[in-house]
Amino acid sequence: MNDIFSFKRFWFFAKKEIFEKRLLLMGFLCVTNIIFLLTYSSGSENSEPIQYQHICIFLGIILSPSILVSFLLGSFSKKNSSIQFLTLPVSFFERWLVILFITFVIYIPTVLFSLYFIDFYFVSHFRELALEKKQIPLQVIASRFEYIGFVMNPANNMFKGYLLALIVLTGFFTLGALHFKNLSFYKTALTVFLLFVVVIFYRNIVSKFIIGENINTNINDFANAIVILKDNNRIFIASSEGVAFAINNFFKIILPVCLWLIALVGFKEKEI
Amino acid sequence: MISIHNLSFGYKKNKPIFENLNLHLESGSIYGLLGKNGAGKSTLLYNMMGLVFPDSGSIDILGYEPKSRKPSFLSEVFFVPDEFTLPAISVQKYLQLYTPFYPNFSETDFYNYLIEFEISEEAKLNGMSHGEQKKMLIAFGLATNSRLMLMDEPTNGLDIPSKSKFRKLVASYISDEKLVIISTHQVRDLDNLIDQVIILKDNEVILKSSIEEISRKLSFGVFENKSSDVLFGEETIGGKLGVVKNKTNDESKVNIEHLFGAAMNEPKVIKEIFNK
Repeated sequence: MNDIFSFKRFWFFAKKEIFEKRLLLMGFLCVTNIIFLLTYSSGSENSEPIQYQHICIFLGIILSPSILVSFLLGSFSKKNSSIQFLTLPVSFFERWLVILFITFVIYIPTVLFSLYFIDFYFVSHFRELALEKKQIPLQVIASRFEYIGFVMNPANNMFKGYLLALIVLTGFFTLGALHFKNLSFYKTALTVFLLFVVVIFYRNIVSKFIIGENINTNINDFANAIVILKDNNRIFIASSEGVAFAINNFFKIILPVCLWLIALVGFKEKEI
Repeated sequence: MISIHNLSFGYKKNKPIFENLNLHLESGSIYGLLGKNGAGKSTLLYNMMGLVFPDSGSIDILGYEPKSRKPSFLSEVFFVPDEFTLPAISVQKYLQLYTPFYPNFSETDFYNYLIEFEISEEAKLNGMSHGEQKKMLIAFGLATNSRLMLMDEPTNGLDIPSKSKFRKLVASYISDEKLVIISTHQVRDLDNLIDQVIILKDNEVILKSSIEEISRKLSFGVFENKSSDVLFGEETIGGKLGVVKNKTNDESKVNIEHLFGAAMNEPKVIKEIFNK
């Protein structure tokens, strides 16, 4: 018997987990879709779809999978359910892989599918209304009412930033569920929030006291920054090619991979 | 089958539950693991299942280190915990989802056990009482035909007829290749079931012996009130009903409750008697 990975065993385990957690998954999908509908419904032919597209991507593709991961591992919050989860004849790798599978292969594609559908319906509707009313020039209409596929294009830097945020946040929440025994979701959310606050605070301290100016950084560019001068002029500061390569690769590859690898070890070392 | 060598474990660093615990258990027996509340019975079972990891020492079960929780190990052992949560599905669905993990699972046995416990296969697990859920889990565990079966307070929540059926089913389950460990503080429930006794007290094993050896070394019955040899006794009209050291070759029926009382009252004497 292969004690690390067996496709058959993984499939049985995934089937069991999905069936037992079907209500949780459906609940998440329902709530996410309701949020999508409410967000898009608040728009009109005069608003810019990109605003609610970003809101929906953040809520549906980043925040909700992170919360879902925490709830999927909710069995660790109680000794009773933890015992049953850990004594099932499945390897730690398969337990880890099932979380990835449910989140990234089942949940996110389903959410994306419904988001594309809702986006198509509403954006088409708003474009039709804008064309009917003829208050906005045709060229503006063409550029304003773009479908969400424009943002979700892998070539788009914004998309890469979202993807990175998704992997890092889900990684954090998986680690949190493994580390904290009770109320893991809240504790992890608080930790992530505090971490975020510390990073922003540190950045502001650095910029104010060392450089004496404000700094603007891009979510997906860790090696470069824009310094905003007091007269509102902006100076672009770029680190050297080698440093930029190291910094960007650390945040874009090493950090997310490490988070998920630590989670993998966490599954192996987990005690009740 | 189970070899525990110098096991030390504690949930907190300054409060060890076991210190250099050694235990060697062979297949073909039903062991009763007895001890007061907090003696470490459940913790010992958790260590055996790899649910907690030893601070030092080693545990070898069927050639595996439980800590690594390998699927090949976990499919050979089954654990019935004291407290558990079953998913909100029917018995049949549970069977469908969980049996693929246990290669020796017998569906026929499972349904027979359910009939014995009077549990409907159509029933929903979340609609059952705690006792019924426990019977379902015990039936499932027995049907896995695992080589090692660990049960933590299995009779908690069972009604009197079910306790008797439990004893019957566990007795029929055991074979030369299998080992059952039942941890309980309700020692009467194990009467006529176990053939080996392990008693834990103050971080150590006070007694590990077969019922046969116990009946040879101790005598159970009614003794004179004045007798100072009584290791444990309850006052009755005819004298003290309890345990004394067996000074004759006559064997008496072991009363596990009295044996437990003797081990709690006179742990040193009991150790001396059985270490000879």
